[in-house]
Amino acid sequence: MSTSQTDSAWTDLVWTDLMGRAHVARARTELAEHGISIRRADAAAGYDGPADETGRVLAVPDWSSCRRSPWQDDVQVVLADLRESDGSASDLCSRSVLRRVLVSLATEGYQARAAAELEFFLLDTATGGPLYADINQYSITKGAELEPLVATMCDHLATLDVPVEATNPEYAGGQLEVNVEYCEALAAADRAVLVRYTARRVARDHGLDATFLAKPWTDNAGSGMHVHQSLWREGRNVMHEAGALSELGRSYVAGLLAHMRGLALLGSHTPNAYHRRADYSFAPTIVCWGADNRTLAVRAITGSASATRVEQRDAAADCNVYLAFAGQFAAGHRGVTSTSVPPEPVTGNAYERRDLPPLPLTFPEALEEFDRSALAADVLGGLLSYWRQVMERERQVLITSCSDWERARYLAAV
Amino acid sequence: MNEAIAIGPAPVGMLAEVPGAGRWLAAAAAEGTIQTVRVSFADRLGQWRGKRVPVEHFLRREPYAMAFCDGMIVCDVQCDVIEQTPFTNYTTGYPDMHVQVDAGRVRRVGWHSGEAYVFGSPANVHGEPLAVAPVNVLRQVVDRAARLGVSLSGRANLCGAFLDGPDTPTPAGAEAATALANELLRGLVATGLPAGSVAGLSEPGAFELGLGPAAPMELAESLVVAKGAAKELARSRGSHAVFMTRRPGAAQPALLEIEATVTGARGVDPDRLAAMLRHARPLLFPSINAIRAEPPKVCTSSAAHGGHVVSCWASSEADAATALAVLVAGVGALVESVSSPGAELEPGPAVNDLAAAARLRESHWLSSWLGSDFIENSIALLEHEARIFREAVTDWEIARYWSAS
Repeated sequence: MSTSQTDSAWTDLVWTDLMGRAHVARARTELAEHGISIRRADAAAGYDGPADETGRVLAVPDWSSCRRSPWQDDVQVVLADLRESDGSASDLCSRSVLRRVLVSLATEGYQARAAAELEFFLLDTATGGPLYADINQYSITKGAELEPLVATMCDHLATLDVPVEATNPEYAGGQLEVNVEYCEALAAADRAVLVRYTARRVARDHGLDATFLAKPWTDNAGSGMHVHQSLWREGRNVMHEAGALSELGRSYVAGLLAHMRGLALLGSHTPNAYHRRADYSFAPTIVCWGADNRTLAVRAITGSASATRVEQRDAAADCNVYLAFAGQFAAGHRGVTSTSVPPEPVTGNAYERRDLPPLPLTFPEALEEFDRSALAADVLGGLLSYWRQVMERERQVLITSCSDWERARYLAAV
Repeated sequence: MNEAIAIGPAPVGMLAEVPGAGRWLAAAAAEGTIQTVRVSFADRLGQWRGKRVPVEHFLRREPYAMAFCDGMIVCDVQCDVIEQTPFTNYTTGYPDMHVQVDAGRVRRVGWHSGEAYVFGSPANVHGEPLAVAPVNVLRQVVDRAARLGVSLSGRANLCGAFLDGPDTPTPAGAEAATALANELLRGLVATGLPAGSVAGLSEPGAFELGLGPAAPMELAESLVVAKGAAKELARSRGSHAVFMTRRPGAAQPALLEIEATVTGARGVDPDRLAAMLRHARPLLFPSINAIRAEPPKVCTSSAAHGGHVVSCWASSEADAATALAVLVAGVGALVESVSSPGAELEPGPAVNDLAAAARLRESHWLSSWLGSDFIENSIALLEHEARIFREAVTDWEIARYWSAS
């Protein structure tokens, strides 16, 4: 059950750092009630390790997210918010950033629903490469071969109240996709965090590794996180109207597009993530939308009332899920409140549309766009300065690094 | 594995008429004996594709439809999308295709415990059957033949091999291959498929699986499943099941023999039918490797009780639904030409080169029966295969010419 506390003796509190990585702190359940103290340096950690921070924050259980652990009978798993000692939301809490955006929608009567579609690679621990080389998208026989791992993952996720809709080998050797049922947006983000955590852990239990890195190899497809999103009011999908996207849905799309460049960093926060954005890669490169079309940044999927939604396709699988969701729902909300009108939907091959604005194609470009975005600052609130600090560090490391690619290409040739 | 065989429902017969299979699945889910449903379709080359769906989700969502990227029904043998395919490409944006399935057609996987599968017919967003999906083409061809009074029940002999790697037989040789082949047969029977026999062939690791009799739709689906099952079983034992037509060390090509009992087709001239099948050869031998295979005969025809027995050959790697559709279309077109004496039936030239696949357009009967969309997209796929082969430098060329030239 995800609605109440279980009677487990132990509680695993799952909290995420600035980069969206899940951490687990275990406590006796009666103590977990009050939160577990963690170092601010860890909560604010970037890719260099602990941040230059002192003091502590509390990882406080959100009991509405409580579920049983698939690994141990006497353990329950709870998603945690980061709070200051006075009980206020910590500026370091990404989950609270998303909650604020959703509350803002709720005050106008909207419930946001979402599902994150995640891709990842299984790795051979001996070679560090993908578990297998050949592309096997939707292959039933390859899926059967991976069944011991995938079935365990699905079972564990079911115990974690993460209902898996389907799994399949994806469009690169060693790559899998997991589809999870849609639900209220905060719970959907929690589910995505748990999918990543569980996939890694199950892979290790099977003698493998799993990575959600956006673009692990130059010649292979990257791993994305497609966010399916809809707004509901009084149990009705208000993005649907007569089998099509409603006016409100179109305004929502307009908001997504208007802020896509400025918020790109929230879905793709490493320099590596921008290698995904290549023409003919099935990752978007242009700010555009349209009906069902996999070359677009936003795909409108229409049909029944319950199934009508929009899918934003630019985020990377290794993003901070809470921040990516927050950015997208905030942008959509802006579109709705201003009754924006989207540009003409794009038909055909969007990779050929040089007349339309491109998405940021490099990390520095995304950072510049982010800095210009008022909405980005609004969304992040107190988290902005921490986030900006880590992103600046990534930029500096990027511009001062020398990669193996550069050495291979230039060292002997110049 | 044995447990799965023992508890399988084994309803051999028409796929569309499995009674109470939906209820059976719900009961199996409740008992915990089925955890996963493979929601499936077969691609243009007869590869078994789909997604693995937890059974609880499948039952909750029944009637069940699942969306897939439509590029995967016309991808090449390496799963690459082909930009020249008219049906879908970057200009169409590779939208969703929808596979609607009927829980009444779910079958327990007899060679793998805890799993069931179901095939659906690929359709577009409006529910219209995709003209490029072989299963839809076969259904349309069978229906048209039926309107002419022609019906067909088929048997199939499928050759394959269990190998340790691409070039070598299993180390344990015939014994290991026989064990795998027997396990394959048991698994298919436990699944409820019309599998009747399996026999070892003289080449190490090679086997021939006998399926049928069955209606064309069931036979086609059974062949897709049989190849998938062979691959799964082999991989689970650390080896490979291959259906490549001309493999190193094998004296005979691996073929799919279809023996069909046809009723309502008086006057079918086997020579004319053979000429028609020679014209459709790229559809029956759809790879660079397969097209160079020499089957013993193109087809034979003989009188039998209540009808004709027509046998034809395709490569083992060919899509079975396509092969069956070509055969039924050939018979149907001949019957049609007999009943409409004014109608010209030009079989078309024999086509023995994938690069010449465009010649498939030259026969009216093929486009008329299989559909011009299917033919055009097949041509794109076959020409793509020919093109990448033309650009490749092979080990054979290196060995033959590198130091000699």
